[in-house]
Amino acid sequence: MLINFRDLTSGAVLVAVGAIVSTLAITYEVGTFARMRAGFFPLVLGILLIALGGALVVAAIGKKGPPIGFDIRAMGAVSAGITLFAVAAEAYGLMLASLLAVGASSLGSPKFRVVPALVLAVTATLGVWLIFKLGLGISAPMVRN
Amino acid sequence: MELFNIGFPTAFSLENLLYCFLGVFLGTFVGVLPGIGALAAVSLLLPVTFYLDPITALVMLGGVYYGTEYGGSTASILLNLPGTASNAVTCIDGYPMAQQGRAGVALFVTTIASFIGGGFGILVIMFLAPSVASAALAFGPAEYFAAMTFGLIAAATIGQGSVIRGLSMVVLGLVLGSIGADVHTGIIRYSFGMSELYDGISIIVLAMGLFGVAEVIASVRNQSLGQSVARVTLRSMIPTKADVRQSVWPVFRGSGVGSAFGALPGTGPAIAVFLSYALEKNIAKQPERFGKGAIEGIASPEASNNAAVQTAFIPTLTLGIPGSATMAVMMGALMIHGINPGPQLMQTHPELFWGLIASFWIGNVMLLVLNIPLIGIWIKLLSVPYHYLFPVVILLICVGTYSIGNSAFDVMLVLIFGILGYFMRIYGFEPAPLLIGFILGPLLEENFRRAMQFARGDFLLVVSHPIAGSILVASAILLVFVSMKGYLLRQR
Repeated sequence: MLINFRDLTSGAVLVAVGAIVSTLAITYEVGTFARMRAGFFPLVLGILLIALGGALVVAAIGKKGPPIGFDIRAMGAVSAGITLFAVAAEAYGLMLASLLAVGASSLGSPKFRVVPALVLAVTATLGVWLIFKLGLGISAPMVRN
Repeated sequence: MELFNIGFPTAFSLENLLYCFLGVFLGTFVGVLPGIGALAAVSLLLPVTFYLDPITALVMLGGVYYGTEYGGSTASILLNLPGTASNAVTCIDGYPMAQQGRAGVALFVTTIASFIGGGFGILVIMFLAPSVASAALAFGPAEYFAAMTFGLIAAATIGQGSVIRGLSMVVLGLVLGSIGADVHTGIIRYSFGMSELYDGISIIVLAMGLFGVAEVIASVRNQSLGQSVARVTLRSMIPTKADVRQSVWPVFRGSGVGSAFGALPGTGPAIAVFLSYALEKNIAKQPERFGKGAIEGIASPEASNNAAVQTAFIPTLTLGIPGSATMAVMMGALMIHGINPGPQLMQTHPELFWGLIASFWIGNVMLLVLNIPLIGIWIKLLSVPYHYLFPVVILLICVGTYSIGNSAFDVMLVLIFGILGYFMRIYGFEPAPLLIGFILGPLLEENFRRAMQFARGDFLLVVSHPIAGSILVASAILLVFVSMKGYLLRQR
């Protein structure tokens, strides 16, 4: 039996999300058509999601689907870059955060080389200081202790 | 006319002129670079606009938006790489023209066509928008609900996927929009205990993650574009008399088609452009010339897409219904400044509306003047390797997000939406409908609630309002029509 995995998985995820949305919606009090409480609209949305997801799952059976490929390296590097930024910005200020963000993200490309990446990181960090601190005057500290 | 009493004086302030220039310049730059689109640029610049007056903010963001349409054609003609989705059509006849040594003429004609198209679109806004807004003032909650439903169904039809995929993204967007405190009852929904979510998710965070980060991750494997590019001199740009004669009518036809389709929610420049090209090809005396460097093949689409991006402002400014994801972000910018777009906008904030229109004129003139000499610079820009560009884009996203509220939580949210957006692309789901659903969600719910309250729970009563009912019927027809079309296409 042919299965379109792309549609099957996405459909299943949509059904799951719809189920969570609906279940939580009921806890917010649904109310009536005339007097809608907080849970009414989300409940309708949740049911719609389940229906749409279900339709996708049904459509997935009987056909072969396209192959699914991820760029794990890019995903990992960008995730690392942004996470490091978030952590460093709170703890050490924007300068270090910028360096780490650019450095880590650069690792995502197969064309990565250490020296150009470092140069890029330093230049970009200086640019951030110039544009955001001097130019726009944002309040976030560049260096924290 | 108010344009001259209020609009031009507002637009001609030094601050507004400066930011208009900045906007169109950045827009062209972004348009030239394949991969980064108007939406990413507008989202990135949103935090910057906090420090600006709302009119200035919108003038700049608007400049970025229509500026990208000018820039996008450059890469299409010179490198056969469309700068924006709607420039894909320009590649068909533009690149062959470049190969025949007529790149200069192609670029020149494109710029002029873009200017005329843009001007035509602005005229349509000026004459049509006030009427649309006055008609919409008669709207009650039932009519708003119907109009927003139409907008959302139209949004679901954007892009490649099936209608089911589009609809699921719209609904998901509506769900994300309901996170946070419910306006009516005060109950906090879907916060999972995190106090940062009590006010809901910021549209900037969603846009930057879904479009910025996700785009970057998807494009990292892009090859560098630095190929040898033909040298383009100023003299080579002058078109022949025959070129001019052949372009005049296509430009006007393109402007018309673009203005009409740009104003409809959901369709936007892309469809308008394909339609203009098809129209020219079908009515041409020698259709075989198309695809081999026919000048009508670039004059009409280019006029069309510039007209469309101008009239795309109409539903947002007059009804408060964004026609595309980029419009949704611009609406978000207005709302952040405390201005609610809708029919009353023209009455309560005439300086915003007319100032913006005046800035469109100024911006289009700036673009006309800028593009011709700057083409050489844009060409050099195309040779920066992507693996240097994308970490800087990530950094800009991070700093931009962090500068809004000094919140590392927001930055992490951007990452989460970025990963979500990436998976959505891989699994074949369009992000634009999600964004439109997100921004319309709370409004849709509010109007639905009120309409039902007045009708005392009877949905049929709501539907029997004449205007609301006909819009809802139109939505249903649209839905059926697009589903049938998709189904038939897949059966082939």
